[in-house]
Amino acid sequence: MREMTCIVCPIGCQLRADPTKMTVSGNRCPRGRKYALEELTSPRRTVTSTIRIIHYQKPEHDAQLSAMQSALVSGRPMEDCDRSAFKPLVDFFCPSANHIEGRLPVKTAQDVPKDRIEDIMQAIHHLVVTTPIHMGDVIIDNIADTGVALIATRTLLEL
Amino acid sequence: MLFYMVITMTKPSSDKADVVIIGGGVVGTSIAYSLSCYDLRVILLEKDNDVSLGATRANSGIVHAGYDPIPESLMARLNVEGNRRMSALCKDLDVPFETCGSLVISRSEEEDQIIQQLYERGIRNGVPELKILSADATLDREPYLTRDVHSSLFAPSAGIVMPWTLCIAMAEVFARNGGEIRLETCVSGLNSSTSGIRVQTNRGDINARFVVNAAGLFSDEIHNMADRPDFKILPSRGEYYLLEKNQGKWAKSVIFSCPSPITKGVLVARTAHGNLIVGPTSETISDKEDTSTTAEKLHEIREKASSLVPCINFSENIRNYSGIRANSDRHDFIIRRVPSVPGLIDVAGIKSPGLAASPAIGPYVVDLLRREGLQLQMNSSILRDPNRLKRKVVRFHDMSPQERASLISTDTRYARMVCRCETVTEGEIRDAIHAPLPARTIDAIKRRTDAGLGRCQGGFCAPRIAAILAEELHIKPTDILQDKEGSYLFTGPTKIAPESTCDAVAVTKADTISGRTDSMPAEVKHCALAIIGAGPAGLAAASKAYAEGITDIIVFERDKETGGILNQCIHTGFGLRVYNETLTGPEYAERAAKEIENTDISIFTDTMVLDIRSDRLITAVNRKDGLFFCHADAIILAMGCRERTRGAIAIPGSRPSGIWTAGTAQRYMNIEGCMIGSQAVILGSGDIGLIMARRLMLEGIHVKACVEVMPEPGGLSRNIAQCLEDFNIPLLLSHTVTEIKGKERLESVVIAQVDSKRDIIVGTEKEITCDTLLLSVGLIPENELTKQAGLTLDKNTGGPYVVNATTCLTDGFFACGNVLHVHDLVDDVTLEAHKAAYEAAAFLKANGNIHIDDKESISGPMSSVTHTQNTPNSLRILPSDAIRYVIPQYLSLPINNDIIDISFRVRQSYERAEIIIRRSDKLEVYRERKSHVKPGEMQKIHFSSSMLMAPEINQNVDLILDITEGN
Ligand SMILES: Cc1cc2nc3c(=O)[nH]c(=O)nc-3n(C[C@H](O)[C@H](O)[C@H](O)COP(=O)(O)OP(=O)(O)OC[C@H]3O[C@@H](n4cnc5c(N)ncnc54)[C@H](O)[C@@H]3O)c2cc1C
Ligand code: SF4
Repeated sequence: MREMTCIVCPIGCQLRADPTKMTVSGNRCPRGRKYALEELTSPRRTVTSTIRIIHYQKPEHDAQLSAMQSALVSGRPMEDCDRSAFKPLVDFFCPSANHIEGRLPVKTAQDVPKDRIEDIMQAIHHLVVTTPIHMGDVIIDNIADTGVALIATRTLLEL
Repeated sequence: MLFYMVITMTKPSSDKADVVIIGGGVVGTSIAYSLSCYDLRVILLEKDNDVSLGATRANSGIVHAGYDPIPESLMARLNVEGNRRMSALCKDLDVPFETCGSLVISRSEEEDQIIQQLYERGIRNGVPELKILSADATLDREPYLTRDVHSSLFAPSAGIVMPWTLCIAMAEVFARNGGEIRLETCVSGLNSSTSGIRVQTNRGDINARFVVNAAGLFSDEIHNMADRPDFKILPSRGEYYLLEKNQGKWAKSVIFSCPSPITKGVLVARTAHGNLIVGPTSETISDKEDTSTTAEKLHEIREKASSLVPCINFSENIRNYSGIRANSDRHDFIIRRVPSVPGLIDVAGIKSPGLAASPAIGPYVVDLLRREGLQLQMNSSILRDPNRLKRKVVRFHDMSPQERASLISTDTRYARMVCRCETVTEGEIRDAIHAPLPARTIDAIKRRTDAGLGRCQGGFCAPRIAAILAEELHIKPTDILQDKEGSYLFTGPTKIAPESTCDAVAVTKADTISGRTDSMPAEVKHCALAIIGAGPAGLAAASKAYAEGITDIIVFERDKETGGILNQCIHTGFGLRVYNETLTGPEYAERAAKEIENTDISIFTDTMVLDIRSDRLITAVNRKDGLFFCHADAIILAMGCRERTRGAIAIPGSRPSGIWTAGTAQRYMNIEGCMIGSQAVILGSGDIGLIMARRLMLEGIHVKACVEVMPEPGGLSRNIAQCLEDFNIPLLLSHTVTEIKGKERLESVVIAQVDSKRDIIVGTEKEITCDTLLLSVGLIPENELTKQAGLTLDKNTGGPYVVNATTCLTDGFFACGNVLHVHDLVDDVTLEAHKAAYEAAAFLKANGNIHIDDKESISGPMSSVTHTQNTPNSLRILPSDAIRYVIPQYLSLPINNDIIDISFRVRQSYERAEIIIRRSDKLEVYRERKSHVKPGEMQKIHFSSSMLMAPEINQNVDLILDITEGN
C-alpha cells in the first residue's frame, strides 16, 4: 500500500494506492484515482519556469538575433550557435540600451514525465525569445524530446 | 573597488593635505564640516563604503541634556555645548531633530536619591531648565508609564536626532565645499617626519601636516601606529528593538529607567522618524565588528522596558540590531595632541554622549588645530555665500499637497513612488545617487531617503532601487550591494547554463510604462466607483461592478501593470474554481484583465494612492498627471497584503545580506531573473515558502531544509507533496531558526527544536551552512490607507470590520481580497470581489448615485441588503476561543432570505470537527460536521438565513461561531 497526497486540486486528499491490485482509496473524485495510478506507474508533473526574453528596438543587431532565433527554432542549445554574436547582446541590461533582457514565464503544455524535468530545465536554460509574445504562444513544440510543447504564460509586448 | 573609483574619479594632483581625518563617523564628519569653511586641503578617510557605518548608525539617537558626565570633565562641557548647538545645526543641514525632553524615572527611595545626585550634577554642568518632577507631574507628561513612579528628573533640553542623517549631511556639505572623502580607504600606518605625517593606506600614501584620529573603535590601533600604546578601546555592545510607528505614541519624551551601580538602565524613546526605540543593553565584547543580537539580551530588553512602559507591544517589532560603543579605559573623552608625534590629534574614546557632543567636538578640534599652528583662512566663496554651509533635501513624505504638486511639475520623477511605506519617490532615490557624497548601495539609499526603513523593510522597494542603481551607475545587478563590501545580493542571472560563460542579468527597466494608463485632469476628479489595487480582487471587482451597470469606474494600481502578486507566481494551481482549469498566476491575471479590456473602465497604472479620506476623497500621484484628487461615491479597497519580515519574528544574530522574504525572492527570481544564492534554508512552511523551495531547486539553488515552528505545516498538503517531497527537501516541524551568522553575506543559520510552548529545547541546536534564508512567516493585510480613511481594523484578521460580506462600517467603503483577510486561493479572492461589486453597486443605486432603468439587473446574493446605516442595525458574529477569526463580523438586519456565507480560520487542527453557531441566548442555529480541519486552510460554511430567524432576532443578540472535536 502506498500513501500519497493528491496534488490535482487544493483539497489535497490523502490517497492510499495498492500497487499490486491497482486500487485507490481516499479520493473524493475520479481525478484522484487517475493521479494515484499514474503516480504508481509513471509519475508526471507540469513544469513551470522562465526563459530569457529580449526586447529588440534597433535593426543593427539583426545578425545576433537571427543567430539566437535559429537556435530557438531548431531547438538546438544556444551553445551551438555563434557565441561571439550572442555575447555582446545580452550584456546590455541598462534601460538606455537598445535591447533589454527580461524573463518570460512559461509552462509545459501538458504534464511531462517526472524523470525528464531535469532535461527540460537544462533545455530551458538555452532558450531566448524576443518581444512581442502572447500568452499561449508555443515557444518550442517538443521540449527536450518529451513530445510536449513549451508555451508562454503571459503576454509581453515590451519589457 | 567600484565605489572608490566613482567617488574619486577626479584624482587629486598630489597626495598632500593640510589635514587628514581618519574616520567617517559623526565625530570625523563633524570635524570635516567645521573645517569646510577654510581654505585648506582636507581629506577624510573611511575604511567602509559609506560614512556613518560605525557607532553612528546604530545608537539611540538621543541628544543627551548633559547631567550624566562628571562635572568639570571635557565630556560634560562638550555634551552641554553640543546639545545647545544641535538644533541650529540640524536646521541648517535639514536633519530631522526634535527637542522632546528626557525623563529619568525613579521607582524607589534609593532611586530618588540617585535622581537628586543627577540633578545636582546637571546644575553644575550647566544643563538648562532641569527639574525634579513629582509622581503626578511625571504621569501627566507620560501617561503610559508604569504606575509605581516615585519621581523623575526632567531635562527639557534633551532631544532626538537621526544620527546617520546628521553624519551624512555634514559629509555632503564638506564634499560640496571641496573637501575630499575617500571611501574604502583603510589606514595601515602613520610615519612621523619633520614635514608632517605620512599616512599609509591601501590606496596610496598621503603627506599630511595634521592627522586627526577619529577612528572610533579603532582609534587605539591608529594611535599605536604612531606612538607607544597609551589608551585602550573596550568595545561594548548595545542591542535594540525598533518598533512600528504605531508604538511611537507610548513615549513623548525620552524615558530612561534609573541607572544603578549594578544594572544599567534601559531607555524607551520615539525616534526622530516616529518609531519607538527600546534598548540598549551593554555587554563587553572582544570582536569590534560583531554587531549580532542575542536571544538573551533581547529578552532582557523586553523585560526591563515592559516594567517601565507596560503597553509596549513587542510583536510590532520591525528590526533588532546592535551597535558597538567605543568605550575606553578612561572616564573622559580623549581629545588632545599627541605630545611625541607632532601634528597628530587623538579624538578617541568618544562614547555616549558622543552624538550629542558632536556639534561641539568639531569646533573644539578646529581650535586645537589652530593652536597647533594650522592657518585658518576663511574661504572666499563661503564668505560671499554662507548658505554653502547649509543643505536642503527633498522629502516628499513631509510635503504638503501644494508643495508636492509644484515639485512634480518640475520633475515627474517625483511622481513615481518607489517606497510605499515611507512614501519615497524615484526622484529622491536619484537625488541620493547624485548627491555630493553619492549613495551606492541599497542601505546607503535607505540612510539618505528612508526608503526601506518602513514596515515592509524593503520587500517592495528594494527590487526597484536595485534597478535604479544598476541604471544610474551602469553596473551589473551582481555588483549591487546591500551594505558593506561583500554583502552582495545576487550570485548571477537565472537561465544561464552552469557551464556557460556569458553573464547577463536583467533587471526590469526602471522606466518602462506598460499596461494601460489613462490620463486625468489635474482638478478634483469624480467617479462613481474607485477601486484601489488591480490585483485579482480589484480586477474582478471592476468587471463585476461594470456588469452590474456601474460604468464610471477608476482602478488605481501602483505597479506598472495589473495583476498584482500573481505576475510573479509563475507556478500552476490557480483558477480551478473560477475558470475550471488549472492556470499559472500570470495566466490567471491576464484572463482577469481581459474581462475588462473592452469596457470604458479607466485603469491608472503606475499610480500610487497616497491618502483616502473618510469622505472618500482620494489623493493619488503618477508621472503623467502629477498629484491629483478624485472623489468617489464608493470605494472598494483591494490593496492586497504584505509579508511579515524578520523583525516580526525577531531572530537574533547578525544582519547580513541573503535574507529574503519568500515573496521578494520570488520576484527577483521570476521577474528580474536574478539568482539569489546557492544554498538555501526556508523558514516557515506557508505556501509561498513551499512554492519557492521548488523554484529554487529547479533553478539550481540547493534547498537544505524547510523549518516550521508549529507541529504541523502551514501550507496546503499538495504543496508539501509536490514542492518538498518531490525534491527530497526535509521538512523539520517544531523547529525554528535560532541564530543568523555571517558578517556581510549570510554564512549559516542555527536551527533548534521547540517544545509545545514554542520554547527552544536546549541541546538540539544544529548549524546549517547556507548563503540564503527565505522567510515565509505569514502575510499581513496592507491596510495603511484603510486606517488613514478612519476605518478600524479587526485585530484578528488585520483587515477592516465588514457587514454581510465586504461592506465596511464607514458608508461607501468596501473591502475584498487579501486586504480584508489573507486567502489561500485566488479563486476565493475573485468570488469575494464579486460580492464587493454587488454590495457597492447596491449601495450606489440605493443612494441614487447611479440611475439604472433596469433595477432588476442587480442579481447578486446581497442584492436586497440596505446599506445606509451599518453598525447600529446589525448583528455581531463573534469567534469563540477556538476560532482565530471570522468574516464577516456583522450581518445587517433585517436579514432576508439569503444564503449566509461565513469564512473563518481555526487555531488548531481537527481530524473530525463539529462547527456550531449559537445565539448569545444559547439557542443553537447551525451545526455542521467536517473532517480534516487545519489552521492553514480557510474554512467556509453556508447556510440559509432563515435558520437565524425564530424566535425573533435583533441587535441585542450575538451569534457565536465555535468548533469542537467531533466524533
Ligand atoms: C549602542 C550605542 C548607543 C548610543 N547611544 C547614544 C545616544 O543616545 N546619544 C549619544 O549622544 N551618543 C550615543 N552613542 C554614542 C555615539 O553613537 C557615538 O559616540 C558616536 O556615534 C561616535 O561617532 P564616531 O564618529 O566616533 O564613531 P563611528 O561612527 O564608529 O565612526 C568611526 C569611523 O571610522 C572608520 N574607521 C575605523 N578605522 C579606520 C581606518 N583604519 N581607516 C579608515 N577609517 C577607519 C570606521 O569605519 C567608522 O566609520 C551610542 C553608541 C552606541 C554604540
Ligand atoms: S482526489 Fe479529487 S478532490 Fe481529492 S485532492 Fe484529488 S482532485 Fe481534489
